[in-house]
Amino acid sequence: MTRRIAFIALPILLLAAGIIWILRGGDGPGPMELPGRGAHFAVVVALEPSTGPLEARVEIEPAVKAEVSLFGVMPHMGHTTPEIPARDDGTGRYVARGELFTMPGAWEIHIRVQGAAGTEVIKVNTLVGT
Amino acid sequence: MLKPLITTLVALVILGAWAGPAWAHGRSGEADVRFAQTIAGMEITVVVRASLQVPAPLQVDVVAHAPGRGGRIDLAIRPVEGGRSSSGMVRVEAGSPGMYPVVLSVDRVGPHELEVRAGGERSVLPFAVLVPQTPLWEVVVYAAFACAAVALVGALVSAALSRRLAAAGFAGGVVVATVVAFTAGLLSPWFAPMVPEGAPPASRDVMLGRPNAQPVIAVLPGEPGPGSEFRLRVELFDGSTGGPVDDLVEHHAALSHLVVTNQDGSYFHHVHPIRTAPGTYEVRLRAQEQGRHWVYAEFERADAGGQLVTGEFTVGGPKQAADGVPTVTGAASGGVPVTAPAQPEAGRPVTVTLDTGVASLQPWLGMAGHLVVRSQDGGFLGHVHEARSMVPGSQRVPDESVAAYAPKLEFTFSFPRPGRYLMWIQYAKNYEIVTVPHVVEVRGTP
Repeated sequence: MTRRIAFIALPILLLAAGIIWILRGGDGPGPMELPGRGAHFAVVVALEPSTGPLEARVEIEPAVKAEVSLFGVMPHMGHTTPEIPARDDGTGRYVARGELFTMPGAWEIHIRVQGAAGTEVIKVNTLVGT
Repeated sequence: MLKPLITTLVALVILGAWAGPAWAHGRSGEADVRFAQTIAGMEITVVVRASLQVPAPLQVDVVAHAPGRGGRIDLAIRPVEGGRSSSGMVRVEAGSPGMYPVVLSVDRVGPHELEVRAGGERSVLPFAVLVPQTPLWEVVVYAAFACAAVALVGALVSAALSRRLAAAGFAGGVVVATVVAFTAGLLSPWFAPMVPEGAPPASRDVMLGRPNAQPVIAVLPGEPGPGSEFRLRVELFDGSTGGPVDDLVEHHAALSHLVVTNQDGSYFHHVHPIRTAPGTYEVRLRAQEQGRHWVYAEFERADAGGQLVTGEFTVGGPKQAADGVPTVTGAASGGVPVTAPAQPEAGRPVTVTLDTGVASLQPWLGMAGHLVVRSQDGGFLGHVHEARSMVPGSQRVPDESVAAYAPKLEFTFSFPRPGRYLMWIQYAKNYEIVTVPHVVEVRGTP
């Protein structure tokens, strides 16, 4: 009896899971933390990589006063997005809001950090979903 | 029931992984072929529409962007591997930019040549007639849903006739078939798409990339005078074998893009030379002023990325008293380009915006707009596409007849070094190409 129920329940569960997945639109990119390191600074960018306006949180190490901005580069398409300045959100923390990616695909996030130690652009890679 | 289900799912995954790559040199079987050509004083784009089957009529559209004095354009398509050729003609009206259609025919897939003849010039453009093939997963999905429908009817009939065992069997069939259909559909993004019929054979283990192409750029006659017509010839040779480079593929709707400018930027031509022989591209131009001129050729070899080669020539005659000024060409109706930030810094993205004043721009070379950037000394040439009209590689390039782009064109670009840069923004309005020049001073990092 239990075996018979399993034979019926398993396909139904598979079917239900498939329908739920379709209705949810597949697995979109969730929030992620992308670490990067340059000569003077280390950065961690936290964001949900998607097209359209988004919020990116940047943490720099050492946690000093700096001018931080971000822009996206899509090497395959030869595409650059405008620079988004990040505002100071506490020691070593910065927040940028704007459009970083204009289409799905493989992107580089360029984080420009200008501090007393120097100016550098740190690059991290991400995959942008639809 | 579980055993056949698992077997079916495993079979599906294997079948999906079996499929080959979808595109031949980045072109799917459903994409049109585009060849921009500068021929007989006309700037045209020949669009060979995609074929869904062969033999079939083949729609070819000649889009006249700059019709010049107009005239007859003869078109012929012939299969490279032998077979029947098909020809036709269009007559472009002087001063009437627009679409000039002609219907040819094609009776086989595979490599073909498109011959374009006008005003005593002849260009032979290689391309492949492709026919898209239905992916295997799609066949599986449709077949599974059909089986599910039949089984459902069977289950209902069996139940009505009180045939319990048969009804249970059919019901099981419905479930299995539906699960197979959904699974195949859900897994489809991970299956390699089908190779279109007629695509050139590609080895699975071939690495992308080919040797560099080196140019021999010549001007005939050797030193044209101001106002005289000359022929600019670009011959491409393989840097490794020394043989002619004759594997160029469609790159932004042309086999090669040629930018010719002089020192002060008052002379600017973005043209598309005709292919006169394997590896040889030529265009007829008219010299304007005395001085040094730069030639930049942008193209893409099969299975390789884009390349830019450069050369130069001199227009003879007495030296000009003063430098020329880049001027607008075409029926521009909007404002002037605006850069943000106003004082660009080298290495940081700059957005150049042009309000064209019209909301019915058409794509040209697959984009709503193009920005050509040249450093004052001619050592750098950049080509930027309008940001909002770029589509991912898997999507179809919009048609030239679609006048759907908004009035504002936006380009984002990072100037590599400080200095003075000359820029030209190009877009299509009522099929006509408009060129708007701009000059920008780029400062270094403070």
